[in-house]
Amino acid sequence: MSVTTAGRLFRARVPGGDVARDDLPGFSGGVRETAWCAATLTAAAAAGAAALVVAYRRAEWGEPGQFAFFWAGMLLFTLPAAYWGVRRRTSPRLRLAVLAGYACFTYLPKLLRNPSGPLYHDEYAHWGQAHDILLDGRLFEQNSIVRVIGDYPGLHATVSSMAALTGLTVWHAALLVLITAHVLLVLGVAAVAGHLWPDPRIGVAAAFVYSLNSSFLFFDTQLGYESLAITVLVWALACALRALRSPGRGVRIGWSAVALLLAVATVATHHLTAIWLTGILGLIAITCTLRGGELTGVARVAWGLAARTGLITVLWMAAIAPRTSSYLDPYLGRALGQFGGLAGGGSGGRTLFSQSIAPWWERATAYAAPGFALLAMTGAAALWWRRRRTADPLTSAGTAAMLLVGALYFPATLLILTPAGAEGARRSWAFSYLGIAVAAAPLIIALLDRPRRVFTGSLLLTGCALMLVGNNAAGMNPSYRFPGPPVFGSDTRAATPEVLAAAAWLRETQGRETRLVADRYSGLIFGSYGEQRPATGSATFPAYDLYRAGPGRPISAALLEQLRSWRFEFLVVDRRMAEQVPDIKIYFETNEPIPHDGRPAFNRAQLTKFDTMPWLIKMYDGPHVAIYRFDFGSLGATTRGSVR
Amino acid sequence: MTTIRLALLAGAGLAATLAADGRAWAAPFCVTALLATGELLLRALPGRPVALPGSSAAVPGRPAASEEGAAPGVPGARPGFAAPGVPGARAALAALAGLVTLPLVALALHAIGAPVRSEPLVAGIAVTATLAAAGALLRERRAAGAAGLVARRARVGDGVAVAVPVLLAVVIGGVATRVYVTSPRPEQPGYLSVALNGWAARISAPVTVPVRGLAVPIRVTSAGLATVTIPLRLRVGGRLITARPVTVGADTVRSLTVNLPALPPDGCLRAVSISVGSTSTGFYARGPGGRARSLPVASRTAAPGPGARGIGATWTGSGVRGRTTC
Repeated sequence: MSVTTAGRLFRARVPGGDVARDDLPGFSGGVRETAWCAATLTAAAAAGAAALVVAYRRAEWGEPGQFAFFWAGMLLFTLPAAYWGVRRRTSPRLRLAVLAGYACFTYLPKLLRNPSGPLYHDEYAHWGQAHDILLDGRLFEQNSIVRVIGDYPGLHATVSSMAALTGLTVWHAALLVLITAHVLLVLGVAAVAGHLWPDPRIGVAAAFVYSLNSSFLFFDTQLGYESLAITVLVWALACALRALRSPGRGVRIGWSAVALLLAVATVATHHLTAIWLTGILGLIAITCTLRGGELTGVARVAWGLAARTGLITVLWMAAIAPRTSSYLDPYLGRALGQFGGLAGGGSGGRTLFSQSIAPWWERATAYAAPGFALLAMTGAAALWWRRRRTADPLTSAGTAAMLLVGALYFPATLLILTPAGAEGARRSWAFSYLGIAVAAAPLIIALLDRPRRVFTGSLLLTGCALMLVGNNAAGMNPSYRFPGPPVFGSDTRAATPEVLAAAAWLRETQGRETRLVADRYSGLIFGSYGEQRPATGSATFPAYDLYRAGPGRPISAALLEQLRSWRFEFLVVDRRMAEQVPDIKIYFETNEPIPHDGRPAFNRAQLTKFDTMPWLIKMYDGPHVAIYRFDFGSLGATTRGSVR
Repeated sequence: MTTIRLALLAGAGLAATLAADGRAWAAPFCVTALLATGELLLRALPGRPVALPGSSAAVPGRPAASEEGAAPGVPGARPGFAAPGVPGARAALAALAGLVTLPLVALALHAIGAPVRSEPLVAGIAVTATLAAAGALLRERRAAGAAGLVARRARVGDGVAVAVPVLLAVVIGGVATRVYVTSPRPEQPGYLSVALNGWAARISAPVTVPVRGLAVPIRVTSAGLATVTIPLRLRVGGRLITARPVTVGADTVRSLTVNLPALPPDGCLRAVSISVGSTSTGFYARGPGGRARSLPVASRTAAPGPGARGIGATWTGSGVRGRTTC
């Protein structure tokens, strides 16, 4: 069957034939309804924003109640917005307004978290990268904090271009780009669902369900490449579905071209998102092929899109970003190994919420959230099965693909039990939740259309609230979500005045772009605000061995040769490594060969030994942080005294 | 809006952006130009949105048609972008297309060796908008006769539906952010630091101390601490040469000069430590002669400059004489 026929079939066999009555143009529900909706949501947004401010202020001053105020603020707006969004009588434009308002409101927690500069680990890297492009005008420069991001300049090019054109600072240009992307993401999810299900309420429900995922509030709102890429992915999918629906060849080619243009933008922005886009398109192609018959032509188009997207991704990764596989491998390869070990009864797993300050009810919802998701997916699968003969073929095949995408959430949830897989698992949820959202949305609307809708609606809203709380508790540490006093070994609380001053001194006296060795947290500040190029070490460049060596013990000649030949100039030493255990249990990098037994991994002598080495000149010293300059010409020299 | 007008709007927006030269009012022009470019790209690729009878986008009194005369097949949908639940989907996609124009143009600039700066970017976007407009016009000419273009009123309505909540969000978010940013914060931990300063900040090898001695500039910074009087000590080769109190005011940056006396001409490398309280900075030095390497930076400014305030200048250097083995 041709694509044109498939399009006609869709028109002929729409499940829930009464849906069109809701799709009235304009704010046709009446001025009174619109005004009432605007008034309630504006009041809810104002109260919610006030509660968020109170939550952050309490967290900052160390007062209790931060979690309760935060979630009260979020739910104050989210629940009425969801009500207005999926309400049967709400007009299409009012739904659009509610979605836009909801998208804006859900950016507020991140905006309040760091309104004036980078704060999260990846933000330092991406901010520095965009800053360098603005200064130097060059793409594809290596980044010292996250080594692979230089090969994916989509976000940095967008932000730095916006800053160059508008005169905004890099941070403000980034906020403009990110807020726009966040709003477009919400609308995009609704658009994807809209291509499968013509009921406008299903689109809105899908957008709300998607916003429950653990990355939505804090991770995909940060200055990170995924924040832009995931929006582009969602719209690339929407365009691909539009191409599959298109009856005419010219229009189909046009929508395919837009989808591929967005695929190029995705690949140029983020590796994982590009892989997920290829995978989702591939799943759509597979389900269309399996459906066969009337979808044969559609399947051909789907395969064409998936293959071209895959080709673009592979070519980019092979020709421009060959380091991607070695960067991603530890997250998946080691995680699977560790998971295999756990399954075999071995040790080495993670204890969830170990030493977390999250309240018990947040932890409880975090454990319950996958259960709710399983319930939703089971119901969605049952509904899909029941409607498989009555639904439009492409809707049926597309929903099947989305069910498969959503099903990936569950194995990823198990991977969170492994140290290496936890990060990768969390990263995958933003993508797999797209499947859950689009597949479960028809179920939500179907339940709401049954008798006792008030009871069902209340039950669904409660479930959504618990999932919102639980997913965020599982996906983001409290130190990322809330402000607080400086903590050693926390990405978000590393920017103490002392470290910032040390980084500023180095930039002012030694210039930009010098290579230095540092721990993870000093490296973040020196590599961003300090505009330097820090290295924290790796298996092939064990820079952390400089710190690990005991006083009087030799330092590996190979490492010294690496430092010398790669023109490293400075060594940054944070002596707190001998006094405290890092908040996130990492000193240098995830796979560091350093014991993590609850005690500081270094002693003071290991970190002050540099004062007695004539090949290290102590340029700067503060209460905790010292900066040494390498003088490899003095290696082997003997001296009297120390610079202590 | 016709394609020609849209192209002119994009051009005018880009010209205004360039004329603004990074001033605050460039942002709305830039955003307008990007939106127009995004819409042009959509018109060039899948085509202009058209309306079906009965859809919200239909123009009263005009014959209805679909894209290239074929029905998209989604009941109640906008043929231009068939997502029934999202009336503003077309505009949202245009915004995204405009946004991704930036990285794609930047990549093109990189490919031809041009820097990512405002002028090349504007030129790149202008070329994109022109090509897209040409493509759109070509497509429209081929599809001449297809009527039923999306009603302007409908597009304006969608715009209002997005603009009003965004405006409200800007007001509420702006007030919340302002309140949060300006509210009092807990004090951050203070610090006192000492660093080599001036020429000494460029020391990269052992310093040869001339016979007249050496004035070493240092910088002492105090932030978040009260005014303190603490000892400033100079040690050479582990031996205390001089110590005297120095007062460091609260939240001040103070430049000091420490006079390092001549070292014995025995060629031995000695650690020079300058400490302020419990923080210290230092380098390695040797006397004239022997195996000493000359240091351009150090030799250029070896003597204290006029007006330099010396600390520790009273010491004669006798303390490090006598030992000749290194």
